[in-house]
Amino acid sequence: MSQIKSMFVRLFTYGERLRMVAFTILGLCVLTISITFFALSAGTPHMGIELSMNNYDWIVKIIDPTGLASERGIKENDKPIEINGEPAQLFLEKYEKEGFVFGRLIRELTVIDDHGYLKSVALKDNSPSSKFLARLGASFVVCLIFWITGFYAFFKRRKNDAALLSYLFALSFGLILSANMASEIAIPAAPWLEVAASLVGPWLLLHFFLVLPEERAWLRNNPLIYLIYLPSAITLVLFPLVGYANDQPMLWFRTFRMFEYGTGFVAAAGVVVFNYFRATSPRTQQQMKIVLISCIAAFIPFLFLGLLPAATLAGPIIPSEYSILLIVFIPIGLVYAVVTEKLMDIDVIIRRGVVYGLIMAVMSAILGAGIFTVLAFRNSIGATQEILIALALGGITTALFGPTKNSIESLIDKIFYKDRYDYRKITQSLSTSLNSVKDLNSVSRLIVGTAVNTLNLAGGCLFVKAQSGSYEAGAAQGSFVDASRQRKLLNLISQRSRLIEFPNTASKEISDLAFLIPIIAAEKEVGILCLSQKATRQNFSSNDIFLIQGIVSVAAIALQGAMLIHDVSVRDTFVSVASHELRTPLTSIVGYADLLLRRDPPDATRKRWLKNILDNSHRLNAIVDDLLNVSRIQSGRVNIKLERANLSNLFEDVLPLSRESTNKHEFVVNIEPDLTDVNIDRDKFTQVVGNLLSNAVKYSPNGGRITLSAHNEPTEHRIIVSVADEGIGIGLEDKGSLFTTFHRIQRPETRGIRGSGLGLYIAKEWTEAMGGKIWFESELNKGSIFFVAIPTQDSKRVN
Amino acid sequence: MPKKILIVEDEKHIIELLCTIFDGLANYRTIYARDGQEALKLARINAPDIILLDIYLPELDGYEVCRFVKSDPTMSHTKVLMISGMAQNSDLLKAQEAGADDYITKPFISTALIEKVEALLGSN
Repeated sequence: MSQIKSMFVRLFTYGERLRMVAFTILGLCVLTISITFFALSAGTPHMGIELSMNNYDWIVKIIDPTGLASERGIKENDKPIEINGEPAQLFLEKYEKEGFVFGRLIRELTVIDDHGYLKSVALKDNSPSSKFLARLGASFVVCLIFWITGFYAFFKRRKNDAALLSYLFALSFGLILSANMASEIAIPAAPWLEVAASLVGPWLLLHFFLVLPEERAWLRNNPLIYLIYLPSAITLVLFPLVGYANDQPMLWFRTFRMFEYGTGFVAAAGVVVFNYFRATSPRTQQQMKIVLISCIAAFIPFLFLGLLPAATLAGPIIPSEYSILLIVFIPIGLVYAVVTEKLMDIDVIIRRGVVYGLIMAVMSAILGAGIFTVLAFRNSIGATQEILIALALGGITTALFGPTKNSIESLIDKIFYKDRYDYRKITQSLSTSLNSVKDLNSVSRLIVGTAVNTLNLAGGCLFVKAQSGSYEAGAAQGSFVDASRQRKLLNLISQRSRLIEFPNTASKEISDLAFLIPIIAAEKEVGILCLSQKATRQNFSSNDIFLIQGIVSVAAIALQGAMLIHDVSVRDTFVSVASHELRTPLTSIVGYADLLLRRDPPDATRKRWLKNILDNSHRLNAIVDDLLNVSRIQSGRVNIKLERANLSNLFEDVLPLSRESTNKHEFVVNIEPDLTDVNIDRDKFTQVVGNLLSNAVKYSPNGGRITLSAHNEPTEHRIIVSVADEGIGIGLEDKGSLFTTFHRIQRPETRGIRGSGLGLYIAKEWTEAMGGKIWFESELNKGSIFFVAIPTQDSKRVN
Repeated sequence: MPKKILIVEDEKHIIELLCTIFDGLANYRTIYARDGQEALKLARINAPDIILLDIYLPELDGYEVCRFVKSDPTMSHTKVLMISGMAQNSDLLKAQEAGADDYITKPFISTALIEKVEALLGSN
């Protein structure tokens, strides 16, 4: 079995490597071709012209501003007289059917303009125009960014399909630009490659956006996704058959091609917008936001500084040969969206950008005004005065920087966030709200919510000190909701020193933690409030500090009250449950003993009654044990005797007991034969598994299947034991408190199910005391699986 | 004519105990149900004189069964003696509110239970 498994692992790894090698070779080939095209283009001049037939008369239709023809003054509507050394009429005859000729077929050209002037140009003995070289340089820089980001994504996320697609898209984009240049200087293969790359490119982009969101994992391996390449496949087949003649693509084919790749881009843009608005995970939404912003960053300046001024003014503000540089935002956005796992808070970056942009503008205005004033009186002042004025201006600007920054930050806060607050009012309103709630969770939520929302914090968390002295998360918001971050905070709390006082800043482990504030009531620590930095990364003002102090002082009283109520409620539950659970077996013991004294039953009946007394005595004993165990755990007196043992033998002890307890359930045992020996406390482990099996029996319908499994996890150095049932499942409302004392699932179907609500609490405490971990997966009304992980290595804990 | 007692309890040992206590006496006949729904069904069919009703039951709990019995005109005259392991005042209050005629706390001895049952049926 393990051989087959390792064979699969090897095959899979081999497949992975093969894929890497194949795509790397493909990438390097495309890269070599693209760079060759760029190099050839840099050394060869091009005409940059298209002749077109207009009313049976050939004229210059399109002129490329970077071509030699444009440099020699040839303009649109000039008439060709001589081409490549022969009369134009004769040369153009063979292109009459198509009605146009690309510039690259024309090596020498003489035209006549409206005023009768002759203009000639020949590629021979000429070097490319400076504009062409500038365009080539800009295109090469863009391609370079595409290649770097593409290769980076591909090697950084080797198994990620989206990374592979962004890599292929980068290669195809590079090929489009380089082949476009090369086709203009008459390299025969270039137009073919340009057509192929430009047809496939948009669909690669569409594919990328279809598989990028994590919620579309199902689509990644679905072969139907390749249907999106159908339009480009059809167009590519048509191209050599009917779309190419006389060394150039036919006119109708060019229109068809434009439509095909236009459709691809529109579809890709549609999917991005759809992904953004329909994303269920914040990660996808953030990824789409990054891509959208990078696209906007690429196209808006292109539109407003290039296309629109070119159409409305005399020419573009950014010369056309450089405007292509703006495209680099797109590959950067795409690859960032794929590679990054720690997503940047793009909102914060934009807001900070606005803040610092405004600061720059104000400071420049102050300096500008000063310089303008000096210039105005330049003639009447000497050099010494100029230096003094310059120093004074520098001083004023420096002095003004702080207040300007603060007032702009406040202004941005006002615009983007809530109005400035009055900390007294907030504290008072929190105090009033806390008076109306009594339970610990609501109190915690109010405290954290008030701090985080009023101060615009990235996150906040309140840990409440339990009776056992440990800290439990009472409420969390924002970035501190994450369980792993809460664990780090708990680590920090356990390591904190009395020397670190409020306010304290930053731990290296949690870089955005701003405050770790002990909440003290009646000289006793009742909780710890953890607050992050502000979402805007601004500093805390004195008002903020007053507010935090106010919140903490109000929180201390409220938390103490809520904890008292919680303790009383726990004690009441304990008394009620303990009383009920103890009295039930006691009723049988007292009742049958009473009958034995009063009546003289036959021997068989007497024996049955005595057995009832014995069974119920055992049950009573088990309940008393549970209660004592809880008491030991809560007072920190757990005594664990670890010894080397094989779990298979222990299952043989515990299973028969569970089987005996029911004849209405089917037991399935699935234990891996060669389980590694582990260090455990035999009695406690038996009790853990016994409790899980007992719950499975209690909460499963008659006929339900209960599966006990165990297997090695050698890579994690642990053994996983699981108990699965087909029972009622665990609802959302019970998931958080399932492992707490006296917790019972309160649903109509659990009525009448006996239990103290201590079994899972004890199972968790015993498992953790043995260095293990317990957790569960459950689906309502379908069943639950409880997992227990036990470490196989000495003195190691399961993570 | 013997009095009919409906025992409603989900613990099999306690059912057997209650049946043994009353079946040993000449003037009582017992039937039993193991959950609230079955209890209501048997109560309608058999018209018992008294119901010994545990509180912690599957399907419908003891309080609900009691409320149903007392609100049904055909059964409202049936005496209800609640038996429970919960011994707090609030539990007693809840039993009264549900319409129970009396209440006995687990554990009990047979004579105390018989006395309560006889007292209830005698006053009928």
